[in-house]
Amino acid sequence: MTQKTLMIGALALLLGACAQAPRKTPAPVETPRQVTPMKSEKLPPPGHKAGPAPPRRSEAAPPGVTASGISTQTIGRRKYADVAAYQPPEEMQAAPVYTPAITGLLEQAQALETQGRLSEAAAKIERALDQAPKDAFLWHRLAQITLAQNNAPQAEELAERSNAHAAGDLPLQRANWRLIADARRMRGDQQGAIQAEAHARSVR
Amino acid sequence: MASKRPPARKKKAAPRKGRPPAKRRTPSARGRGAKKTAKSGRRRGWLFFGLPLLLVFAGYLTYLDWRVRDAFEGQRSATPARVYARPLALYPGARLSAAQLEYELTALGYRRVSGVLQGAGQWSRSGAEYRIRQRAFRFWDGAREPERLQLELANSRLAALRDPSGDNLNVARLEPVEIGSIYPAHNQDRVPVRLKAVPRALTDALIAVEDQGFRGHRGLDFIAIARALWVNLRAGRVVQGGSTLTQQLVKNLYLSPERTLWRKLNEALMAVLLEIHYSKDAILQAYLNEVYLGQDGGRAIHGFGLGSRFFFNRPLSELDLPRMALLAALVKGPSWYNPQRHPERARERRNLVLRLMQEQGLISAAERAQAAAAPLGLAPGRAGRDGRRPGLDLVRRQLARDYRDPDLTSTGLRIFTSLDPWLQHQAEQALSRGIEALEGERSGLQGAAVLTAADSGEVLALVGGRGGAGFNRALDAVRPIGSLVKPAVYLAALQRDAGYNLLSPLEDTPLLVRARNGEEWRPDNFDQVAHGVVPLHSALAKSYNLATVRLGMGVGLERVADTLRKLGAERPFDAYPAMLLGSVSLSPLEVARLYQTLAAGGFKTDLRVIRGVQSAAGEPLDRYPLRLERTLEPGPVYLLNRLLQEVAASGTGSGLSAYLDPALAVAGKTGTTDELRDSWFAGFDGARVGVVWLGRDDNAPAGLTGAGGALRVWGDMMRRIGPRPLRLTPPDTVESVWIDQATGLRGGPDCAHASPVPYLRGTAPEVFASCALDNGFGSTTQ
Repeated sequence: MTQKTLMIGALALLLGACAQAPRKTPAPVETPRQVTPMKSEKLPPPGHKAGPAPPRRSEAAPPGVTASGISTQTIGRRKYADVAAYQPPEEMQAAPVYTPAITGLLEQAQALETQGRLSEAAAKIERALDQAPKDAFLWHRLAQITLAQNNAPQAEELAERSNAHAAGDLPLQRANWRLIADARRMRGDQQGAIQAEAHARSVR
Repeated sequence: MASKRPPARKKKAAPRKGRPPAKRRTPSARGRGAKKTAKSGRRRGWLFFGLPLLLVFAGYLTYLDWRVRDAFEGQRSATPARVYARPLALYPGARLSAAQLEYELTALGYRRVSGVLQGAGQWSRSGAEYRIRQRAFRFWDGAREPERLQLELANSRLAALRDPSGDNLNVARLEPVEIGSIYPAHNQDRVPVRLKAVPRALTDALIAVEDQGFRGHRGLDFIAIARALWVNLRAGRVVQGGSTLTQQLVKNLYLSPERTLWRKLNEALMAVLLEIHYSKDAILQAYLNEVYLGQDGGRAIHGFGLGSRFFFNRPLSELDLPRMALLAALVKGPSWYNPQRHPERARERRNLVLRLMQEQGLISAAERAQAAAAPLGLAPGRAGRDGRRPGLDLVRRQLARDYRDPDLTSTGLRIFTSLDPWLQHQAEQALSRGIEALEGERSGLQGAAVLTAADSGEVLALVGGRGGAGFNRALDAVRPIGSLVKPAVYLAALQRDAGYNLLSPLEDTPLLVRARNGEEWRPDNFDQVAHGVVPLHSALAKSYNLATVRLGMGVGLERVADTLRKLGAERPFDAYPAMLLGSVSLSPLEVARLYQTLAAGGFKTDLRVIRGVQSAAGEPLDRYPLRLERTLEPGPVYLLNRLLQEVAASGTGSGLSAYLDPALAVAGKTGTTDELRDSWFAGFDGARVGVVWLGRDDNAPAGLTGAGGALRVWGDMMRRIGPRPLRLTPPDTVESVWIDQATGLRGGPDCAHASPVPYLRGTAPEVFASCALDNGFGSTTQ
């Protein structure tokens, strides 16, 4: 899953209007203050709130600017807040996971999404899924867009589907659980939302 | 729906508008009549008899006028929905063989040329490099794809994708193949064209041969009528008609084909009325879209737009002179000059058209000579034909949930589907070859096949039987599924609270089951041998009936039935004991849905075939997004899928190794019903779910087991479509534990006969076997 993390980071690079060329870490993310081993059973990154954090509302503006000066504003404000918080593992391969085709479709989807053309954005992600049907991040994106379409029940199913393919990708699993929490809150299921948030925190 | 309304309103308005011209005639006729009666002094009598007559005539004219306008306006909007396959996705790294690419291009009616591509719909190849010039196409998402593409294939993959300037493209699509249309009950199909888009030479050819005076006359051509009369008199029979294009249009639009004087009179009147209301161009355009050109089974080919697709599998704009002349030639007698059945007649008639064109100065002598020497140029095989009905049937049924029939058949909707022409072709080949090979003495063997995308649930291919259209077995052959039901039994047993695991011992011994209604049932194994105590995984791999019935009775019929429903069975069935061995009847498509849920790790999806619907104007109307529902826990589904891999590797499905590399680790299950009536195989690889059924329409024994029949077709089908390895990811709730086979206790790599076995977390044995005690503790892996 290291590759996926790398790719997600690279995506944030593309989208996040990054002015700074990162040197050692190819992904424009927080400067790792702690080496995150790839082995599971690890601690969350120091910046990450652990324990009973206040319920995270994704509409709230993310911290915006990270240690390395990367901002997740504009396009990906809401969607990529999570991405920017990733701690990439040290050992990373150079080869990107996604083909330019999928990257292109992700970009198109994002552009459509910001224009509010959600149905078309979802169609782009489905096209990408045709090419990489087991890709957890693509399922996650579909869940995000579906949630933006106010289809909370489907968004939750899609986030679960993403998790089914996200073995080992803990940040993505957390993101999915937070999305599930949002979806449940949208449906008015406060109890379920709190459970999902607890689940998100327990993934580590 | 919205676009259908306006014409309907116009229809009502038409008669009112239409009245004035008819009325205008009445006074003048009446005026003449009045003079006469004044002279003869029988004015009152005329009024008494003549006025009503005139009124009747005026009324009749008004009625005709209304009919003329009504049908003319109606004709403009009556456009059947067109159904498209999935567009071929092109991106570097995509799996794409030369055979597949060329199949797709041929199906699209693209022509291979050598050298530079002159126009749309052409491609060239040099070595592994292809150049394609696409037609413009409005995709569902509104996007257009690059017109010129350069592709490079290597090792059955798309190695490079570039535009003409040599820049790399990330992704592109080929326009989708049109797989059919949804035409109304009267079976008229057409692809309307605008006059502007019709090549001049085609209208020239048409006018030259059918109605030379078209541009000048007012609906009737008296010179032509006189000439025809003279010719016919001399010949003593009808050899030439004097009908104008306008009259022919009237005949096609409004009248029955009978040849009576009354009809002729009506035709003439209506032709004149039509010319009063509409311009020559409007009439010509209507004619081009209305004219009957041939028959495709039950489908009537109307208009040059569809005619061009039907006969040549390409749009009008890409026709050359001889083909256009042939279309014009057919007008006179579509069945008499049918170019498929009577190529010589068609050629003669075509060359007559060419001669007339030259005589009228429309083409040069050289052009005529060249065109007259050309072959008929019909599209080969089934291209352009309405033969791929099975998929279309499903499209129609799914559309019927959201659209009214008239909207589908007349508003020109564009339907985008997930159907894949290449996979369809391969599945058809696998089925027909498989049946041929199996048939031997068994005549009357039939079959069906379904392919779906394992993750999205999109239907990729449907084969409804061999031998073309007719009964669509993939959708409508509802047959007992036999052992295909067993995964539901085992899945119910593998749920955490049911308490079974892959090594649970089952008794494969005779039993007597007494149903609630008191009936007794003694199931038996296929080989009629009881195998004693067997581990659960072997019982499924070998498809032991006795062990399965005992397991199902132990778990509870209602739980098994519930699992079956969670897998996606919607047809009502009774939770009788016989259900455990597959007395449940389902269609191949419904079976695909069950296995789809397994392939997707417990997420049930609707099997979708429609991706989106676009209005005739190109505006997106509906998108059918992926919908899924987690109905089954991932852990037990994972365990079951491991079992289904074992079935294929060493169980009743081991025959697959003749077709598929065992390393692909596909999952599947055989199914056989009583007296070998039905032979089933259902399964999946890493990308697709496939179901094959073989049997007879009369439900007589086909003499085939699942392994002896359907499995072979399935294996061949998956081999043809490029199978993908099935890599199952264990969910968090599953752990893999070394088990010593001798004792069934926890073992370790040091044990002589130990292997890792997946368990739901916390359900593995906790006691270690002696062989694992040497190095302290047993170890768990993964």
